[in-house]
Amino acid sequence: MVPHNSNTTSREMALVILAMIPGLFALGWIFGPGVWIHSAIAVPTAIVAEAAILLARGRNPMGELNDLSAILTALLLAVSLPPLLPWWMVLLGTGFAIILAKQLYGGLGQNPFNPAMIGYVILLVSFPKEMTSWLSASGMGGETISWGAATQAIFGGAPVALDSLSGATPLGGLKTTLAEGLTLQESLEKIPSGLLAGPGWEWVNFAFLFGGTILLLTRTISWHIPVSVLAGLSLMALIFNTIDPASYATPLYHLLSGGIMLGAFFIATDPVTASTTPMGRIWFGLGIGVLDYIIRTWGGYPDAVAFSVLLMNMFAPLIDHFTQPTIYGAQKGEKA
Amino acid sequence: MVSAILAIGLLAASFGALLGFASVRYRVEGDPVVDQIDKLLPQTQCGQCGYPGCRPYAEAIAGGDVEINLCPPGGETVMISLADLLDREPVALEQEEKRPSVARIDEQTCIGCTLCIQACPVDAILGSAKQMHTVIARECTGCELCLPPCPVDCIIMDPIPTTLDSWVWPEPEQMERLP
Amino acid sequence: MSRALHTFHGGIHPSEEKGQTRDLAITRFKNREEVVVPLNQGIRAVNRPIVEVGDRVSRGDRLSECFNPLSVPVHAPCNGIVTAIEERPFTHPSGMQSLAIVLQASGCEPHDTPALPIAPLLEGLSNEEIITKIRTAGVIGLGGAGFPTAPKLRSGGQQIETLILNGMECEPRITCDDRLMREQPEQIILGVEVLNHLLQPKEILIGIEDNKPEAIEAMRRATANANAPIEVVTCPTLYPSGGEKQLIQILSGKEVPSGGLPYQLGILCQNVATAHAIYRAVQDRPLTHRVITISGTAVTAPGNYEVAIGTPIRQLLTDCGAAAGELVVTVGGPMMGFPLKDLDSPVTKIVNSLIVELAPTSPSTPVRNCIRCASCSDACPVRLLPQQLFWATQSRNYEDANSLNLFDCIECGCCSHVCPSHIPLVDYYRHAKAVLRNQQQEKVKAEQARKRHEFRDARILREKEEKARKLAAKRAALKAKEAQKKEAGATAGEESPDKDDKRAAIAAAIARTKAKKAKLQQEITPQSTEAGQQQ
Repeated sequence: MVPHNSNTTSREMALVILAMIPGLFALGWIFGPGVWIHSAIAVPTAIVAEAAILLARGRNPMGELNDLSAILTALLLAVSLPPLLPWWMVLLGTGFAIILAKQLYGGLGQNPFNPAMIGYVILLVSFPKEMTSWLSASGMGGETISWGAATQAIFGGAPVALDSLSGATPLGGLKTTLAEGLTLQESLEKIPSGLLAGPGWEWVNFAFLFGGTILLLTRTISWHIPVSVLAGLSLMALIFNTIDPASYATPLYHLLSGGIMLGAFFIATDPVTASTTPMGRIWFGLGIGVLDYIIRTWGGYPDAVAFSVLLMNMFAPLIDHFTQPTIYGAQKGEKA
Repeated sequence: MVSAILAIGLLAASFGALLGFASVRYRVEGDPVVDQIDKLLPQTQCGQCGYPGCRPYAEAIAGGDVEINLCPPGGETVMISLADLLDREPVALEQEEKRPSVARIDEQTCIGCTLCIQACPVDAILGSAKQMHTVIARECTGCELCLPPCPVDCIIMDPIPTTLDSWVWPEPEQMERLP
Repeated sequence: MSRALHTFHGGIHPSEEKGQTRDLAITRFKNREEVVVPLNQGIRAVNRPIVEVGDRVSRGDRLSECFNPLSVPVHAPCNGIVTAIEERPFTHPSGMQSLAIVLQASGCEPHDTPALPIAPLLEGLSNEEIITKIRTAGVIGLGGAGFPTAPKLRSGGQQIETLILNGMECEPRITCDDRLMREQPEQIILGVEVLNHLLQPKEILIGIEDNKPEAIEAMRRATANANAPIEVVTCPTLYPSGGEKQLIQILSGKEVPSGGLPYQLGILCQNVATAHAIYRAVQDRPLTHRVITISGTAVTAPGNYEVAIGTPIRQLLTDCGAAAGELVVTVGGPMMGFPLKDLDSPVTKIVNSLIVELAPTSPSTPVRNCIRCASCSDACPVRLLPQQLFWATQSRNYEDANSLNLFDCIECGCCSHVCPSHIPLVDYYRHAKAVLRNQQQEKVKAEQARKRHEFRDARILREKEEKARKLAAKRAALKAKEAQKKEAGATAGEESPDKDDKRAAIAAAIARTKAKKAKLQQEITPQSTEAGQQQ
């Protein structure tokens, strides 16, 4: 048996989970403990769901759960959800993600679509109102929401609309005001704004950027996908902002808004559903960045990391097919 | 409503015309598929598929509703290749895959009747009337068509041994068998 | 002088583990009782013994002859008596047996190789004669692949511009080349001078990884007085830099064309131990011994041993203090070696290392599904896509694997090393390659069978047609004859003699046939009785 380096699947998953902690913390600190409660619901749900299906498939749950991929999927979903989403929606989303989008395809390594994003999208399409009710950032115009209030909202039974606190995200707000005909400058004055982008959200994005950098430095992920996702988004934003600065947000604003950092470093880099060739990964990432910008600017949703990722998941095999590297000793013009 | 019906009807007519034109203009003479199928078959000419040789089986497959899993010497490999070529579903083999073997004539028993020579589909048996018969091992395909005609039952099938050259590195345990 | 080096894609840094044996000088091994020399020593070599059971042989005697230009003869490592020529366990991953010459011989210690100048040795010899000497001495590549040296040196008639000596020894644990370079650098350089004489290259580069500073120093010193444009090049330690294709890329920046050979680039590569053997060959000393590294936690006396070709590995293990209990012996290095099934197998010319460990008691890390992380393709020195090769070979889709350049894989093990799911990737590829090779053979056979079948069908058809023609001709002739008779105006008198003749002729024929049949009956009856008795 060939000797191995110390890298194992479990170790890789564990590193990704650890790298999510800054972002997880930032979300909870700024938007209230909802996201932590959601994580606490999603993780056990994922474990139970995966164990149940594994048993049904006649496999050993203990042997396979310890690759930690279910826990990671649960966390990725939890951080994508609005903080006051009812508990049973979290349950449903996690269940769909693990059972439908992962285990039914054959388990780890066999699914074509990102499971967390499938869970998110199913929830978004089924419960659009609750899924687009975000909270304002604490300490920046919005009130801090307490543990008690959060628990009551999540477990209360009926979806609670805390009108004074909830509303659209800064990206959502921007979209609305731009559609109303305000210029970018006027919009930024009207909607809550932080230092560089939307309040609170910019810190969340910084936190996930930090976590993502750790992943890059520990060689858990390669630079191709994150860099090309951010490049795709920035490029599109740059082009349109240059053409018409009044109607389109700047690249920096886009880079620090919504779920782009989470998407670039944690979601798009899911190895199972991304492209596997080096050039392919760059095209894959660029596609996500570009699609995200398109949907953000002209599509129906304020943020579209989930949709972009899922659409590019669909193209991954095709991209792989066309980006085979030239092997050692290949003749000129010949590819692999 | 009328405009919808008209539009769809027009589309259908135009596509139909296009397809009809293509089927006449680009018609392929003969049936190259038969050659392709024949190339995939092992050429044992044994008749175990129920057809008198490999080419007739190839023609039957190309012609109609014949199963692609009838060739034991070809085994699963040939069945899969046929499935790929014809875009059909792979079907499990009905008969068991037999180990490749080569015929050998017991010279003490042979009476020189030439019945086996006449039976061999690839002329792999050397000999003539009242002369000793022998199997040219390199040309024998192991089809076993020589066994029934022999009146003294002197032909034996020897399995082809694995050599250092033909030994196959064992396939790793498939993961589906994890405990 | 620092030469500009290139890099190859990927590569890994496995734990070297050379500390156990790198400072142990080469020890001469004394074997006991018997030596088992397999006739098969190289790539599909076919050898015929030229000795018989009972013959006495002396050290260096040739034991076999071979007609295939890719095969080399084997020799007796010392004086002895041929006790058997029979199937014996062969050092091969299959654990199969192979024909071997068994000598009752003990001792079989290697002799020194004196460092004599090459000019008088090569005087008056043509290149072809020198190459013939190398072949008759039984020299094949000693780096592990065992390619026969003589045809390699002919380099397809092409002029070699760059001669590369491979002193990289990149695989973990193996230190035999390291020690040889440290202890007998003069002999190696003299071997290089022989190669220089044969090939007349523009430059000669000796590549050595930088984890062998003593060897680099020793070789540099030995090169100082050489009659050849030799340069010792220090290369960064990276596995698998010692692979021929990778070393060529590092030193020249060029890539050997896929499916091609280095001589097409004007480059030739030889292992340093092979150069040593070449030098011995021009001294008319055949290849009868080689240095191997014995390492592992289950031996008390690891080291670098010069052993006779044919020494049973079991003897080596005993003398090196192998532990009792179930052992796992790997032939070769940890990355590319194979597990030895039969400990009675002998040391052959391509065995460069033995790793001896106790059989593992705890289960190995479980194999998980492929997560498409592409760590494997990042590590592959040939720039293949191991993950795609794996999906193809796992689903037994061998044709796809072939079109993904499966046969360009050098089986270095980099992909298996980095796989986080611990998938035994190289084992899948080795399996697939063997299946494809067999399938190719079968295709050739099937094509031949189809041609014979078609010819047979044509033959039968032709015979039928001929028969029909003959019959038609006969009928026509008969008709013509009858018509003739009618025309000639048959008279009863004229007819009668003809008819009588005819009748007589017919009667005679019938009598002959009857007699023949009776004779046949007589012959068959005693025959079948005999046959019946035998059955």
